[in-house]
Amino acid sequence: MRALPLLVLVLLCGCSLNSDPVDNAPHEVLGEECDLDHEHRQHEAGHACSETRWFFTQPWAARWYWDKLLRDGFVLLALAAAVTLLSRRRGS
Amino acid sequence: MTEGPPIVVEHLVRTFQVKAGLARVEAVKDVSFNLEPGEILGFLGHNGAGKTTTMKCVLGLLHPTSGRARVWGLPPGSAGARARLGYVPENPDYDQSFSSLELLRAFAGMRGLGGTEADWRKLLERVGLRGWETMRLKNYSKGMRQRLSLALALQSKPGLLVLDEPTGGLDPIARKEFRDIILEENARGASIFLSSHLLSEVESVCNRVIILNRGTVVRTGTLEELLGGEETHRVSYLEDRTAREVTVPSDALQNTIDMLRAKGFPVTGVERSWKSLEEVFLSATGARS
Amino acid sequence: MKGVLVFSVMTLRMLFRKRTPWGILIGVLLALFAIAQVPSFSVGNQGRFILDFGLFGIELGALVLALGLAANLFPQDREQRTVMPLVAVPLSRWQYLLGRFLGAAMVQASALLVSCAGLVVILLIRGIRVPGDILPATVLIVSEGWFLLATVFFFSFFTSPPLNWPLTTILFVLSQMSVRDFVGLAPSSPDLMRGLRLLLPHADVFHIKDPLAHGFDVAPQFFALAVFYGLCYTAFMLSLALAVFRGRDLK
Repeated sequence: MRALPLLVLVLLCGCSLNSDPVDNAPHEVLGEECDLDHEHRQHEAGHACSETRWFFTQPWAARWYWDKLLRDGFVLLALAAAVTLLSRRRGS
Repeated sequence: MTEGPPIVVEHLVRTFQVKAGLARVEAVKDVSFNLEPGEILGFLGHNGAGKTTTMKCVLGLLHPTSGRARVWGLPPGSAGARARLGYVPENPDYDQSFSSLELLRAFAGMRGLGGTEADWRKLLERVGLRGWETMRLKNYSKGMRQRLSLALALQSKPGLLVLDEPTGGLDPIARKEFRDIILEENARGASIFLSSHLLSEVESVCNRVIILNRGTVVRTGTLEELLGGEETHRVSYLEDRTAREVTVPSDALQNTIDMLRAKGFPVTGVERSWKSLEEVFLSATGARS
Repeated sequence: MKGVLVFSVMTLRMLFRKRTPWGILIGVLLALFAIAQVPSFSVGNQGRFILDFGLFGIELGALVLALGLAANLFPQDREQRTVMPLVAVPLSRWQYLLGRFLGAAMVQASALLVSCAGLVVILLIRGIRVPGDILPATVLIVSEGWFLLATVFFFSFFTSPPLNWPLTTILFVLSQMSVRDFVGLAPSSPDLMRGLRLLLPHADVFHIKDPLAHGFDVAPQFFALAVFYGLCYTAFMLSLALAVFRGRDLK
């Protein structure tokens, strides 16, 4: 039972790994090139590459992001079920 | 599944941490008892004796430090234990924005009971809340909330009623009505676990009594055992022409008479009497030796 | 489950009878109205400004609603002893938590949808085109609001309301930050900051106000998956809240 908080932390870390799109972006879309997306829309000058507005203009990111959301969701659900079951044993 | 007694408490210990310190206070120390089916068990003790703590452990509101409690053979707070339970807490309170009828309807829904509004109105009438059914609880007195609490406890016709100081805020007539309802429920077959400061109340409804002092059971038994076993004598005498009385245990009777005569106080009468529950309680808790 | 639904309806009615949700809703609507009054150079810019700040206002409304509705719910139940007769007999602890949560979540969602309608009305009055994705954007905020609500419930089982407000607000602010921005808070210990950030949710998935204001298309998969992520995080926070509540004594 005492290991539960540790287990939660470890799994939560695992679930959130590689969470920033910038960490996973192909090299060529970073730096100066991120000011211009594939649909030739202009971003505002100095806008950070990691924000959602930029993300939505990056076709490469979509697949990666869907996978991440799905994986994180299932890990969180598994964690929720584990915490609920283990706390029931402690409560009774 | 074998069904156990309504309540079994085995070596229950509950400690509380003293605020902002390492010291711990033992509120309940190694308490064990059973409530048998159909019994009305009185739970007596002064403030802080551990009555409410024990009751809350039985209800699953508090976790015991060690030992265990079982309700119908099941862990406290489990669905099976709660299904056949009615509870009247000390100083009950509910959301003020609801009426008693709304609350009865909601509690019935939560418990999956199939009663109708007419049933709930009848129940409210039984506990003396006729005419107050649709009034919001913020207009209720303490006694009326206690009546509502009893109605909620009786709603499912439970096999076990746990009553924690149920008549604390009631006037004498309402107390009598409460007592009558407790006896009616017991006649229906419900087992009752009653905690009360009112010794006369316990004396008039309970089959068996447990006296708790500083978290420990100091006396337990049926009323006959507790009261009958404590035979005493009332000795009347004159002191400077003033009539006085003293009540002494039977084994101290002869010594008392001899002492009074030695002092020159004429003994005018000796009467056999039995201790009241109050005397038993005071003697057991050390308030009177 | 029927017990949970009945209790959630009871909670919903109780909350609607209080002034708090109405007060917060009026506050959000007034803020939206104030945003629409800010002068701008062109209609295009103004539309973008109203949408961007309007959705941000609704998001802040979600935070304030979560705190206003739930921070005091359990502490008040405990103080007034209303929780005892509930948890002793008709409800188990998980039913109590879920019933209270669902009731508050419904009130919060209703208030956010009304705020969204208010924003649409303001855009129409100003003669600005209403983007079709404004409703999904609000649903994402509702999803974020439920996560915040679950967080407030989690804190409410072991802190007082005055402490719950700053704790939830700090979590709200930190979970909006990208990893890079978060590490920037303490650049001298990047590994520690990176590790800490991994424990926080990624609330940026709930934000599509920027793409919406700039007229970008947002894929339906994004809405579905972001709502799924939000609901999963909500379930996780509720499970943590339940673990704390189950270990608590009701004195």
